Amino acid sequence: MMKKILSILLFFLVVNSPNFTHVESLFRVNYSERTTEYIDGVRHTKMVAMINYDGTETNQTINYLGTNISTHSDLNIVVGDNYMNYGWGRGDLNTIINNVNGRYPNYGVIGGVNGDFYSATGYPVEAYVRNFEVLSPGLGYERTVIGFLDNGETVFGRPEFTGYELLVFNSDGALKLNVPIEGINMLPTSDELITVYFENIQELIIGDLNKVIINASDIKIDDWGMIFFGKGELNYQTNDELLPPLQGMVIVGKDFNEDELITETDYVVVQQHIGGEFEGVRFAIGAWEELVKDGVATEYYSEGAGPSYRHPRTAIGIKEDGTVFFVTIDGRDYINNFLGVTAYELAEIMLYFDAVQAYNLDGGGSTTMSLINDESEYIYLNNPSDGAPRAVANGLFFVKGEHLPVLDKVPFPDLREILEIPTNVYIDIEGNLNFDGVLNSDSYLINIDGVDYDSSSNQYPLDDLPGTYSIMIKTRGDQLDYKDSIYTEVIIYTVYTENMQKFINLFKEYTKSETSD
Amino acid sequence: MKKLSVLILLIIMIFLSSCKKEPVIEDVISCTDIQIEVDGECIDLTGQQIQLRNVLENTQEITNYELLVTITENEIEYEIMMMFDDNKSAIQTLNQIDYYTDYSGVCEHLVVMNEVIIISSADCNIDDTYLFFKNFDYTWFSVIDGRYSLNQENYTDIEEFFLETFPSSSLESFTMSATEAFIADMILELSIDDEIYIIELVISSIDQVDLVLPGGE
Repeated sequence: MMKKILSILLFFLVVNSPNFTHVESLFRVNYSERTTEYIDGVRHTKMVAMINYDGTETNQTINYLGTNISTHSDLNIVVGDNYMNYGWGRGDLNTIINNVNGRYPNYGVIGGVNGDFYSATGYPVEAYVRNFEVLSPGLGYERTVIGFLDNGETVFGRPEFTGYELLVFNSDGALKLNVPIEGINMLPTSDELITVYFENIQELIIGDLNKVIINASDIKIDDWGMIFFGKGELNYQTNDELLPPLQGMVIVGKDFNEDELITETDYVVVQQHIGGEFEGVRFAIGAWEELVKDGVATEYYSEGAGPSYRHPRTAIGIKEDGTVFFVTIDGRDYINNFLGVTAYELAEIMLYFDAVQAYNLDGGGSTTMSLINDESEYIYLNNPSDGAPRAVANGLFFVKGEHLPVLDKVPFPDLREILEIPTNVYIDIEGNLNFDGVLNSDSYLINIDGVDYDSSSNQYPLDDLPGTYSIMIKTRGDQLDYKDSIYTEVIIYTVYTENMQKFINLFKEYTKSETSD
Repeated sequence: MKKLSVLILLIIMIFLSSCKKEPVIEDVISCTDIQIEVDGECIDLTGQQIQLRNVLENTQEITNYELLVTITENEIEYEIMMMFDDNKSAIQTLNQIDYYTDYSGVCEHLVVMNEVIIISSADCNIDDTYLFFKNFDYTWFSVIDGRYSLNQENYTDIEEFFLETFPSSSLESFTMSATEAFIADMILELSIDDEIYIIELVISSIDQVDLVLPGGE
């Protein structure tokens, strides 16, 4: 009888222990503190824990940030950086977050972590794709790249780079032309091919070939002058010989652009074509050691950032259901004895959080995680080992907001009818934007302070907070027979506070009373 | 005998009931137009009171003028401009201009926004509550530091204008200045849900407004 009572007591003691213990054969997590919060659908968990890896116990501070981007179209992952035009650069994570918020009016950063390893100038070691633009294919170290598709899927592995391509977009961002580039800083070897010259090779481009000179808004060349990215607008074209201009590109081809497909309102992109499973990724960033594969921790690292040594570390994990999460582990805190983790321990921590795939990102002093708070400030969640957040090359961020749609390719010559702009635009007393419908329209695009909103009808509710807004509208066509109109002129509209609107209504009554006899 | 007594009593009663009371003639106070009656006495108005009375009476009569209202909310200023041209008026805010017309009892409301004109019929009925300073009484004010200051006991008279729109509002202060003939400006502080709104009203361009309706008359 006593034995039974003791067994029952022991059972309840184990089950109701305040420190839940995750039991694996080699790895245990015993946390003394654990908090969880949700910000805009993104979960943040912080743990101070004792981990036991194969008998070795260490104190760790672990931060987790994750969400399921595959089931929420308004939650996405983007990459960000502090790159200059015509170069690279580094910045601390919150500086990068401000850049992301400034670059994309349709996204608002919720939080994120540092990303890839990098050189002193901020050149990322691996491939980096920012809003479909392949800024770099990487330095050839053949590490892992992680890509994010618009449908919420995450791809990882080695992309295929199949050579340079020239992309021409119209002012709406619709693709007009996509042709392969034979080479960089060389003459084309046949009449049908084109090449591109960049400024880093100052040699005369001979005559008798058409040269389209592009004013570049951005040029990225790697530290060794071997890898290129360029973006810009048409300046002029000529058959004369010339030197590649500074902050410019020259597209060279026998009869290239004689048909004037590229116009002054278009922009062109010169980049490596990214293919394979990475075809169509909107954002991609490099990582290194594969920590977890198919739900199993890596047992042996042939390379990596000191996999057997303790460091602060950052990692990305993907769960079975598509949830993507970031983890940071503090380290190099010798005073409080938070020394960091090995890659082996990090792999187990990623498994603890149910990763089926996980990769190590840059760590050490680069390890930083930031999250927005209730006052819309970005707060560092971990303790950077440098004592202050390090200036890093890039990062990964969860954002609130929908991707902008990818427009259909437009034909050339473009014989589609341009639709009329909406007219008689006004805002009614209920705060609805109204305008006359346009014949043959497919829908309308309402642009409010730089962010586009789709509307299927000629009325759109403005559920805006008090403030002043710039509003433009354009008519959208089916893109087959009808192309978009230009935008209307900007309408400045002020949403008053509730009390101010009441004052206005009150003085309208005064006006009305004063008018009547 | 009894019949005689009843008859006499009846005659007396008839006589008494036909008596009319002599009306009590009270003393009637008749003050001049430069005096005011206070507790049954005529008190001479001061020069300032006469002046203010004339100003308010003149202002009450104006039908052609501009009224600029500036409201400060959380240190942000908003302007509302009103223009009156007899039976036409307009009120302009940041987003639109509202016009009101009254032609022989037919009232219309036109809204112009982004060059779009929307016309609708309007209610011609006047609600005196909304006539605000046109209902001011010179006895409500005292002169303090060169401005007319509303007496505390008359705060409710001003609050009445705001009460239906802001039921929980209360007046914190009100001062006014005047030209020789008309009210020039009014400055008031109105408390609404623990927030203070500063409202300034300036009257100008009296008899100089020529309001042209959108799309012609």
